[in-house]
Amino acid sequence: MRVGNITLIILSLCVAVLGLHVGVRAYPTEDVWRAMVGTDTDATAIIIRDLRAPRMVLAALVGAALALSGLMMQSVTRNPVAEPGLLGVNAGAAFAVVVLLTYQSGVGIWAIMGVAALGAGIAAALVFGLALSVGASVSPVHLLLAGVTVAALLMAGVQVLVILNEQTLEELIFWLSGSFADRPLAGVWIVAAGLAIGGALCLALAPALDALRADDATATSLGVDVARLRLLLLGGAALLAGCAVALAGPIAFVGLAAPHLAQLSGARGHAQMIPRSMIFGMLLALTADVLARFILYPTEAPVSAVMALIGVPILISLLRSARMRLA
Amino acid sequence: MPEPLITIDAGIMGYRDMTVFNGLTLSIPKGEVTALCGPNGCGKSTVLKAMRGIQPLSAGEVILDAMPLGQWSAKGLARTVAMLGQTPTAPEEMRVRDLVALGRYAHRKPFAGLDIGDHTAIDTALRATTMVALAETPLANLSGGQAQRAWLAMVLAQQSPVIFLDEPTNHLDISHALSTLSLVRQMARNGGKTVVIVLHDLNMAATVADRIVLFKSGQVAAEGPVKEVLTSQNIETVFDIPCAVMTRPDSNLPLVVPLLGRIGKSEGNTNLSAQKADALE
Amino acid sequence: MTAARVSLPVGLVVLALVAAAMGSSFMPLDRVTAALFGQGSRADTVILWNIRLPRVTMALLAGAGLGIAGMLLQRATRNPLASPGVLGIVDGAAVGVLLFLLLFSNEANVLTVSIVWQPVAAILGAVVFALVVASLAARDDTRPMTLILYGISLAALANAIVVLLIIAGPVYRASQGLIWLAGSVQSAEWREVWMLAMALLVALPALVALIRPLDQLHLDDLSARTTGLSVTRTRVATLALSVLLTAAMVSIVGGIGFVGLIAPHAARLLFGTGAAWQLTGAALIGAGMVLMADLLVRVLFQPLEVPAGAVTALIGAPYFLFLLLRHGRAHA
Repeated sequence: MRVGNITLIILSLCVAVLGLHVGVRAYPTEDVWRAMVGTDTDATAIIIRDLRAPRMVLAALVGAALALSGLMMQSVTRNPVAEPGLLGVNAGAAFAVVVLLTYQSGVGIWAIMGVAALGAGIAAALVFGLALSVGASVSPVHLLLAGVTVAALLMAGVQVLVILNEQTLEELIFWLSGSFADRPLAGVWIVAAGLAIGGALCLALAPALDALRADDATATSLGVDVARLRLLLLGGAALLAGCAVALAGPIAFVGLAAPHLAQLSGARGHAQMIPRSMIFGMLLALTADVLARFILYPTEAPVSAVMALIGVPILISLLRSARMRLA
Repeated sequence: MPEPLITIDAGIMGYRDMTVFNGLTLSIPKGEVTALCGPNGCGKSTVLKAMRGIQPLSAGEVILDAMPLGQWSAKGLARTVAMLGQTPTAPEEMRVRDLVALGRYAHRKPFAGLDIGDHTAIDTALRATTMVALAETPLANLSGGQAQRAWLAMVLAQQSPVIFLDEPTNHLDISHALSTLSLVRQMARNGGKTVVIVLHDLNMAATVADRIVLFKSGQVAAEGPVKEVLTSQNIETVFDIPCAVMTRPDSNLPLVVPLLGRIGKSEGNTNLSAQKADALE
Repeated sequence: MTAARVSLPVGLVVLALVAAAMGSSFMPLDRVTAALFGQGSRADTVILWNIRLPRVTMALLAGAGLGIAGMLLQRATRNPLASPGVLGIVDGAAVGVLLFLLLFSNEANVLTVSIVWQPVAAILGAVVFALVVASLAARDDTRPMTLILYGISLAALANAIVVLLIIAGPVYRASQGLIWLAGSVQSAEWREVWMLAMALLVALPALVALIRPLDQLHLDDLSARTTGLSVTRTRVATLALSVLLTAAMVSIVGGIGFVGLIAPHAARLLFGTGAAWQLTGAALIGAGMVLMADLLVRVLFQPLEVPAGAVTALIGAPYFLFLLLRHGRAHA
């Protein structure tokens, strides 16, 4: 399964264009074209231009951000199952946002994003701190268990807060289920900027990341400042995941599946893996968003659930492959 | 050779993608100590497990005491053959006496506590292994040699006429290894037990065993009494190294000495090993 | 250990009495005992027997069941980090129950079949997911930790299905489903209590028969086999019992997390490693955990009904992280 970046980008664009056409109601291509190029303000144009188009943009950005975040976590922990969703980083962002919305109503997207990034950072520090305090060669299982447990802890906190504040319940449950629909677009720019900076930074660090695939001692002797690299990239990964969660809610498995698919598609070395993973993240999120419209038609299914349906088989096949060093 | 107690008949066995033995036939005589030896990966442990019904055969059969192994019940088999694996584990906080009591599993009646017979067997096993003083010590506090003796006590408490031991001297220093082997010797001589022991050290095998079976790449290369099997020719064939077989200074048992020819450590004196070998022949 | 063996049951009785006294209105202990023995006022008797006692009994039984199930699971997998929640059994049972509710409710949201079938649906769901996890892990049983990884994967899958089922179901069922999933013993009824009690009663003979094989399972597989234990049979029986117990508990009280994980550990510390004592301890500690969690949510959040499962997670998760850290260090 060797595919190039161009093919994948074209495929993503096709899914995005498909996403403009289909939904609760499907529209013919001339309607889509009219809505996208014109300035009509009829219902059809508004649905396509102001509802569907933004969510495709959001899906692509969030997908790429989660994929990059997942790849960074996997590379610096040398752990094929590291991922912001499974490791509790998304739950940290969600918890922080729920706390903010519980005690402060009517806050803007900027505040939400800041708090989400903070929450993600704290959760990441907690999980990785716990895991790395065991030793840099902590087993994937221990890291995963620490992440799942921190996630359970934070989600229990979210549950209590949500029940204590019934008025925010509706809104929060919608957001907590993860979706690209009806989200404020103001924050898109900051994610796009963060993605560009993060991507560039990672590409610049690609040789160091490649060296880190050996053990810590070897990487150090090759001239990599392992501790600093780890801190920098885990921090960056948490920030990206936090912003993504602030926009779309906690969505797991993109960060797991995208780098894995990138590797399957033939990408070798981080210089190839970074762009390829981001493109796969985009494609996955766009596909999940389109699928989410049909799984429970006419009700919209949460993207997080759809991603889990896609991601779990990938996780299981990962576990079955002999590549993985376990326990 | 005394009457065979255990026989493997045309046994084919191996692991998922590799056959280790293709048609192995082997007999273990009653009342003797038989050592299974051979290079790493020759399948000595596999044979031991096959004779205990733990390693399944894909063809052929194992006969224990005139009955195919498949017809033995789990507990009946445990009352006849006890076995100590290479890396036995039990919870660290468990006390030695409780570990030894686990050896009584196959003898106990349902819903009853340990009876007098059980206690006697446990005490005898603790005495034989000189573990009486440590009976109430948690396993975590034992040294390597003590832990090995605790496990041997558990095996003895099983009171089975046959005992299998898989590399019981691994990770033990030389004095603990020797005391373990002398315990094995005692079990056979005084207890009348049949012992099958896997050892990779030929000299240890020579001190403990009556008979030795040498394996090489899925076949029996030699078997018989110690002195007949441990010849320099057999050892060179099996281990692919030059060696000399001498007589121990303290007994008339053979002593195997690998020669350094291949390592070439005897730099300024290149002919030394060859000379030695000549002298010893 | 002797102290724990005496003080824990006594503490549990006291806790149960306190729980019976607390509620929307406080009932002093003398009135509780009076009502308990049929000597109290009519109102007291009704409150105690119809509202509080079912709730207290349900918390006790469910906690005991989850504690026992967790202990069985940890022994059978020889993995101190295994628990019904981590292995996807709880979420599997949830899928079963939600499918049951979805398939057998009419338009007025009334069940078209008897509620007693609900545990059966839960057991089916739990068994299906447990079988999938077990068969995935069976291929490489040399790496016991893979079991947990497969469990986490399948739990995530079951969770996604649960979310979809809740959204697909009627709105009324959705909110019901959310509360039930979170795990709570509020609005308990005697009928449900009896179902729990029956499940435990049925499990009891099997538990007694398993005590000695479980003790033998302290040994590694090879040693256990050579001392005469049918290891595979013991393990399958233990796992099956654990799955059935978990499913029965979850079908009625929902996903009360971390009890099955923490109770066996605490029992090992307080009651020792003998299977009989550890099982007793896990049952007592589990019962205490759920009762305490339910008491806490009643005292702290009255009149809001925060599920007890949220509290057990808030208490249990940090303890589990501590265990994980210690286990990781020991194996590093």
